[in-house]
Amino acid sequence: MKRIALGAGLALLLGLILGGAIHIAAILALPRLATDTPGAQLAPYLSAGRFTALPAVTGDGDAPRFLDPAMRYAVCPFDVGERAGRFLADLDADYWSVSFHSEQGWTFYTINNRATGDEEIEVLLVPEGGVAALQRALPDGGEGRLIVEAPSERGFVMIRALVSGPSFLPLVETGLAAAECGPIS
Amino acid sequence: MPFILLVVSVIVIGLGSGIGSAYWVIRDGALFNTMRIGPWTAYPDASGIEADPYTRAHQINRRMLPVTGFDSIDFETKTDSQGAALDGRCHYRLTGPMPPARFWTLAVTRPDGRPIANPAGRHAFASPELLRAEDGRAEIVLSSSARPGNWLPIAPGPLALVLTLYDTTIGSGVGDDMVLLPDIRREGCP
Repeated sequence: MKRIALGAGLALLLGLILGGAIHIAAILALPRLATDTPGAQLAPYLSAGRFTALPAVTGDGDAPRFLDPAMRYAVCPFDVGERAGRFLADLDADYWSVSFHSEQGWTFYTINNRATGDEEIEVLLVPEGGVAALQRALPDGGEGRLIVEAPSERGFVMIRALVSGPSFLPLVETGLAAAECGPIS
Repeated sequence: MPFILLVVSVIVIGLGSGIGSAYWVIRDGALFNTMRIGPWTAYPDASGIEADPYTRAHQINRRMLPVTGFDSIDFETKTDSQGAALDGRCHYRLTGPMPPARFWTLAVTRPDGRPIANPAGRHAFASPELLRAEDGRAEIVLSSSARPGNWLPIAPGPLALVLTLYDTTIGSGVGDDMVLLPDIRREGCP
């Protein structure tokens, strides 16, 4: 009788220890195994060297699912493996921002129009630890320019802009189409 | 107790408790980094590259990971303030305080994040479009038939509402317990 109780207790203890390990492994593995990430949903719109506007959210529902219907978006891939990236946008909208994401879609940097006093936003993107090297390479030492370190070589940049009413839409679309994306020259 | 029985029970208990607890945590929302105000739920900085593993797994599982930046936060609800599931056949009135943010938008979707087809082609409401009552209060009506004032069309079926705040410090942890969000009241069903 005593031996059975002891055995059951041991089984429970070892089982829960194993359960803890499985729990942790499952939680850590899920994001790595996931295929339906925002980055994957955006893949059809990522073409190198230019910003591509995402379709507006409509009832037909082709647009990626996490978008705010009141905003318009444009995306551009980056690869800072060989050369630093440069991104420039100047929109006419009440609120707009430029954000930087890993390939899966995790955000590592965001700046919005209030931070620059509604002027244009220019961001230079370098790999981790690459700020000093870029500053040396720039003619003016990179004085006053915004340099951001990317935690991964590849990923994408997203511009989003609030459409404050139907009459604001053309201005927003023009601004998104004029945004620049590519390696630094 | 035979050894084989011990091994089998350890494996069964291990798989059951491990997968069960992981599923529970991921489905019901992260245990960490969750903000609940009335019926509204948000996951501050959940799309950040430094989000904790639980938040990350939960966000991936939602399949609508918000590619928001660090200056915005989205609150979602599938129920009204009384806790009843949002039903597209009914109409609802949103009233009350909008939290401090430079701008906000209110979007209506199906619970899985899909937009709802409607003849007006309208899926969201942005704060600059808001018409305020004489006493300064903001009210938005959700209804499948057109309404005067601030109207957001819905259609029969289950719904979710997403209130996104742009350029806000809400979610940073400072003063988050003081935040008030609008009340959602059901005003009638056919």
